[in-house]
Amino acid sequence: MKQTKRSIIVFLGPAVLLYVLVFFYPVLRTSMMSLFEMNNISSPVREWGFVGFDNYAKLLNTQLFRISMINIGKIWLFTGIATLGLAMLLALILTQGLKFQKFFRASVYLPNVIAAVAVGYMWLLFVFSKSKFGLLTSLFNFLGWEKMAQFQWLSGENLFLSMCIAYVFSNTGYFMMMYIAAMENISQDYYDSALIEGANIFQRFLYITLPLIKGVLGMSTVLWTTRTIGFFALAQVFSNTSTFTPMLYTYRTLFATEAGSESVNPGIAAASAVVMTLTAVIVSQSLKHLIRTENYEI
Amino acid sequence: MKIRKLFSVSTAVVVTVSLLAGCGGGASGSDSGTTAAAVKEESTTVEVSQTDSGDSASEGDELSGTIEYWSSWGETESQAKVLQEAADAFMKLHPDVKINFTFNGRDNRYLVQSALETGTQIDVMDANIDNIQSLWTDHLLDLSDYMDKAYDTTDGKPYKECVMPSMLELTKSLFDGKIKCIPYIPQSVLIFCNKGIFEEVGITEYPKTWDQFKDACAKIKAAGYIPLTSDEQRKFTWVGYYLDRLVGDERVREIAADSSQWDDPNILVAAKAIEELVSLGYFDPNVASNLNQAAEQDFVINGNIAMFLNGTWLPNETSESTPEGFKWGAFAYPEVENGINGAEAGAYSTYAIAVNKDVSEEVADAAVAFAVYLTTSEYDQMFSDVAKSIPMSLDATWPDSLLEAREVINNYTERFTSQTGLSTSTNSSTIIGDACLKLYGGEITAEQFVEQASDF
Repeated sequence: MKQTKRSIIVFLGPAVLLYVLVFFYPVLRTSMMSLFEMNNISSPVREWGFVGFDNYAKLLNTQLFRISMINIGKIWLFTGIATLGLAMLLALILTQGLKFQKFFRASVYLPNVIAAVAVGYMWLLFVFSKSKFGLLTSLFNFLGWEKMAQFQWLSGENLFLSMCIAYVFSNTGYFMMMYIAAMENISQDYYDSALIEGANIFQRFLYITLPLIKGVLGMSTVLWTTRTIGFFALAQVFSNTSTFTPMLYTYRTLFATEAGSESVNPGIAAASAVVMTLTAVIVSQSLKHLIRTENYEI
Repeated sequence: MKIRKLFSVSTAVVVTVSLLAGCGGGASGSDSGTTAAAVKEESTTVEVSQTDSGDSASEGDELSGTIEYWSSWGETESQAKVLQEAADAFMKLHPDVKINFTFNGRDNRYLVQSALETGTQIDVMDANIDNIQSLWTDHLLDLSDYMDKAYDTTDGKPYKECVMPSMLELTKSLFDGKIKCIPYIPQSVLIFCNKGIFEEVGITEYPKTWDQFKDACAKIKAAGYIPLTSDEQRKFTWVGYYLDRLVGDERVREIAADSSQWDDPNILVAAKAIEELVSLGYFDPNVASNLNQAAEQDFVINGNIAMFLNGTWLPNETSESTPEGFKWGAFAYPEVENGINGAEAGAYSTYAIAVNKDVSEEVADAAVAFAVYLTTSEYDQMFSDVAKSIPMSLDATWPDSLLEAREVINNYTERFTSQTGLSTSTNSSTIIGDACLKLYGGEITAEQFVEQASDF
């Protein structure tokens, strides 16, 4: 079929229209909202009052928001290293043709399909809890490791660590599958040739696997950034200053808690969303530049 | 090339903002479980079926209309089940009335607000009365005139004489002297106790003053029990109530909203009082790590904790795990030295049913008649029996587990905010709450509490 202006419009039209309606409009509205004050998220525009950058000034002066930004930075870095590192390790192990390989892959991936809220409560009530149902307490008691049995997984100072463990648990499978797919795409010939040359497993990983999955690695870090910036459910479940995230701040400022319904402020919530967006874009773009992909013929 | 780059960056911006903000009600992505997705899952429309219509309808029935009712209960909660049954019975009595429920859970407070402003038809809605006042005021019909009327279930008396007067007074106080919603399922936060422990250690009278309270704790501790507990959900209460007693709820709300107010010496006095209880070993050693409702379950299952400052919903929330023979007791937070109020003041609130001001007179009449029926018929008693909640009708029998709470609540003439004034500001509540739990857990001193809690 000959490509004409009309055919381009016909084929691109629906996608562009959907894009504008579903993505562009909310972004524009949220960005505008961040410069106004209003009673609630659905207040008509005629009731908005222009405040300029006041919402941003108030936001940046709010200690809880500042804490939440530091928290999300820590979550991104620490759990990022743990999740992507563990995913890489498991991907390596589970591409070696082990017995029950498929079963193990499915098992590691499984937590990813469970709702984050359910994962959070599972860890909270059945793993970290100090009550008689607490798995870790029972396990360490059974092993006679008194110090670890007494460890307060859910006290304020350890809550961040506990939440990170739960987050790594539910995300590793997703990235592992991504790495497995990339690794299985590499021709076996390279490995056979390296094996004949006498390369050991680490050399094979370092000089063959790693360069050839660099593109996927870069993509996974960008994906990690966008997933993490929206960190919400576990922060809500673990609910503490040390686990408070910007997304939770946005939610609470937009809708407040049942006890604090007078604190609703959609303008500040929108400003918070815009700040998070800019952060995510800057970090993602920096990562893309940092991990440049060379093209190999595989 | 430049255009491509620009497009790529703008796409990234758009996608990310959409992930974060397009949201309003929550975001997309796997971490947004409790927001939009959860709301959608939780929000279930239930159409109550009309059975045997006409059989028991009273002749000359004037009520008619279809009522869209958005409720703050989750569909599986016992309160929702009672609501459905009551609606079923009401429709049988009034065959021309049809009630359609949408059970949204607690998110109802903001779902209704958004839905109303975007033109969704909602005729009746319920929520915590403070939320109704702060979020829905502009949409409410004044129901004051309906209070003076008699209904089928009020024995010829005006409705206002058949239900708890304190709750109607609360409504008036929040809506400039008008009744803009009909209260049901009142709630209060007070000290719940395992009465079995009190009896065993020989405490025959509940403590009324702070010194008596400390004596009671000492006796309980000496007998090998844990006197006090709390958890993440109720973390404000022990400190918050002390402060409310000391300076009043309004002042505490100011303190919660403004970090510069924390040089008020009364805050340190309250923190010191709690610190003393901690230093004497009266708090549960696990208190700082009691997330969500962990302490509630421990309280009834373990049977070794004597007191929990919690809400009247406690017996219902723990009903599945409460062992037979568990004796519920309840009493008011004790008076504190130099305090400005006593047992006459307490933290209480209520859920309430409101009617959209835009409904027709016909629907308004039917909606109010249903609310009256719900709070004065056998279904009001059913709230007590099934959901273990406080009934509104003066004739209803309270659940056994709340009989002592009834005495406390009936004594109230002054109101604190539901979870005390400390919980009322979004910007400070997380920070203050964490400091409270650390104080109960002995992780920080009273001075450190003031320092940490005021850092918002």
